[in-house]
Amino acid sequence: MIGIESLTKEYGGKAVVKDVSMRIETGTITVIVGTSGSGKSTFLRMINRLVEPTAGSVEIDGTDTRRMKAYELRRRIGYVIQDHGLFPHWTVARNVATVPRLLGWGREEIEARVHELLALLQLDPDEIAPRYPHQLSGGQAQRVGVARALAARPDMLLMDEPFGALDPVIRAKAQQDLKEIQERLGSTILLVTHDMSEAIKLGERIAVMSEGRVEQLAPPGEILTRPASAIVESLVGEEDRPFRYLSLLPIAPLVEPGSAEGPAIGAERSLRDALAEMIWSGREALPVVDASGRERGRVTRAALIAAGRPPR
Amino acid sequence: MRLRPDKLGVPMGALLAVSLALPMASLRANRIAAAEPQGLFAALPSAWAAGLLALAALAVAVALFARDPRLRLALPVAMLLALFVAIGEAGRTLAAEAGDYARVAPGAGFWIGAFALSILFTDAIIRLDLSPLGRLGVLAASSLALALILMTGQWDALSILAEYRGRAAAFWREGGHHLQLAFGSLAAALVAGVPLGILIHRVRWLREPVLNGLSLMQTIPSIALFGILIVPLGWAAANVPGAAELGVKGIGMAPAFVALFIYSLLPMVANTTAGLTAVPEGVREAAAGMGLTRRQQLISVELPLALPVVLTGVRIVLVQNIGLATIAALIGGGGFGTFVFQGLGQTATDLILLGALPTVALAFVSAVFLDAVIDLLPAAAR
Repeated sequence: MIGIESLTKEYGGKAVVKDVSMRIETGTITVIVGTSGSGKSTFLRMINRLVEPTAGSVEIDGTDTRRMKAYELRRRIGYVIQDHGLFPHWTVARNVATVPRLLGWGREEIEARVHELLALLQLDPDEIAPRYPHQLSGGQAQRVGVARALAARPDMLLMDEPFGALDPVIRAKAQQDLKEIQERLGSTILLVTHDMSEAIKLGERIAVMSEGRVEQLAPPGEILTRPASAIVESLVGEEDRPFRYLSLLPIAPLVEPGSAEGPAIGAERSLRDALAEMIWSGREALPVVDASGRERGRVTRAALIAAGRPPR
Repeated sequence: MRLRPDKLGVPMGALLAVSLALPMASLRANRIAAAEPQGLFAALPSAWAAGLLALAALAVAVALFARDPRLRLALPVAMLLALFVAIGEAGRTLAAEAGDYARVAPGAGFWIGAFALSILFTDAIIRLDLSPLGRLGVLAASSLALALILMTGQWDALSILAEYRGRAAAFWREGGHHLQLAFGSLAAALVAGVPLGILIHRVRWLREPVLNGLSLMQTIPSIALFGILIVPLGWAAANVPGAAELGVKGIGMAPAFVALFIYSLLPMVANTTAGLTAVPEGVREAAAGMGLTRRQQLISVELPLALPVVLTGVRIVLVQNIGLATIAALIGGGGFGTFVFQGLGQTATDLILLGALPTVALAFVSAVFLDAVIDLLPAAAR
């Protein structure tokens, strides 16, 4: 559990982050979303003390981070940045091994860990490990950056616009993969982005920041349906809001008995996916199948649109 | 396809053709008498001269029209070797006719021809796109060829070697001094300049004043700097215990060393700072964020990434110092400059060349060597 109390940062008397408090439960993803200049990156960098707070405190599992040496604290926190920041003069293997080496792990243990992590991130260890960063594609470099951050099994992962440099197709895949890895490893992640869609897709909770303050800290559904302020509302985007909301809801609860024409859709997919399919193929209803491919019934457009109208 | 003459081949081929019409060698009745130019056929037996002409015609043709870089390399190399052997032959031929005190030196034709061929030679090496190790190999082979020509006595009849024979011991001693001055001041500049570069990289407000101060020193003419240094070094020799025993004096090697050191500081400090500044922000941020200590960030990330730029500074300093060390002779600092200034005093061109040619060769070898070393660094660090 990470406890953040009244964290404040001032530069020359001007507060960039003002009195921010939040608790981050172990094993969850919290996304900080805000425009540039909202103080979100500064806030993130105070957690690993790349920026020293002017006031307030951060506790990790009950230990005040100010009581640790900054470099020892950072070795316990994974850090991923936008342009991946891989060390260009080191191979991928050496890059991933950075923190384990600093912590003095044995050679064999490090080798095994590097192998394990590259495989986890769907990179072929034999092919990728000996390469230098300039020999990687953007997507590969981003994955190596994540592997490096995870290497020493950190207490938490800080990610500052981790997908910002990727093109849309690779970004969508990277987001999906991050979510799966987080679920598999039970990592605690604090991620900063300016992209509300990314926040909604990844966050179990979203903190909307503006001018150094947290405007709202809530699950994505609540951010969409009950924005706490005009700023949150503008970030959510009035015309996109229904689609974003639909993207949070799974098909499964709307499945009704009956049949429909055409190719089936998986019950675990979102209502947004179902709507898109209906529009594109001109159907009123879609057959729904479960994970094993067995037919479960159908979902109709009327039910979908009714579900997409948020409770008032 | 129309045959289009090569861009570099035109001027260099023309130069080579012209050089054959110019005096190949010059003959003087004694060491300081006026030179009488000797044309190709006067300087060499006719068979030699004709052979050289034929080879030159081939070399010009290749320089103008050949596309294959191996051919463009082979002809200038062959012609250069032929020219080197021929000038020795010319020395023997002319000296045999003119008597014991006569001096034979290479003439304008030789120098211009050798120049044109060297340009074609280096151009061919660039076109071959050799690996750094390949370039070092060419350097070693060229040095070996030159050493062989010297050791077999092919050039013994030439006036520069006549000057050398009279001063063999002094030549090697002053050569040693020259290297001590150039490399010693480089080492001192490395030891002082790299930490200073790191310091002004970290402490931003120091950067401008330090770099400006060092630039200012760079503008002091070397002779003036020697003069300025006489006073403090003379004082130190007289008053600081142990200084005189270390060889510190107002004149001689000490001020020359200090002056070269001062001139070396700007390139060392500026390049260290530039190399560190060029480390990408993301890399710097990641190094700190991963939990490297300040020292680890510097040693395992920032300095390795700055190394190519620092080495470029070393290259600049070394070439500069090898040249500048010539001036040290003015204040009794020794080095190859000794012969240059003696030669100037005696109006003996050959003696000037005895000092100047090894200096140029040393600077050239150092530059090629360090360039290859920089290129040998892992691609990622460049």
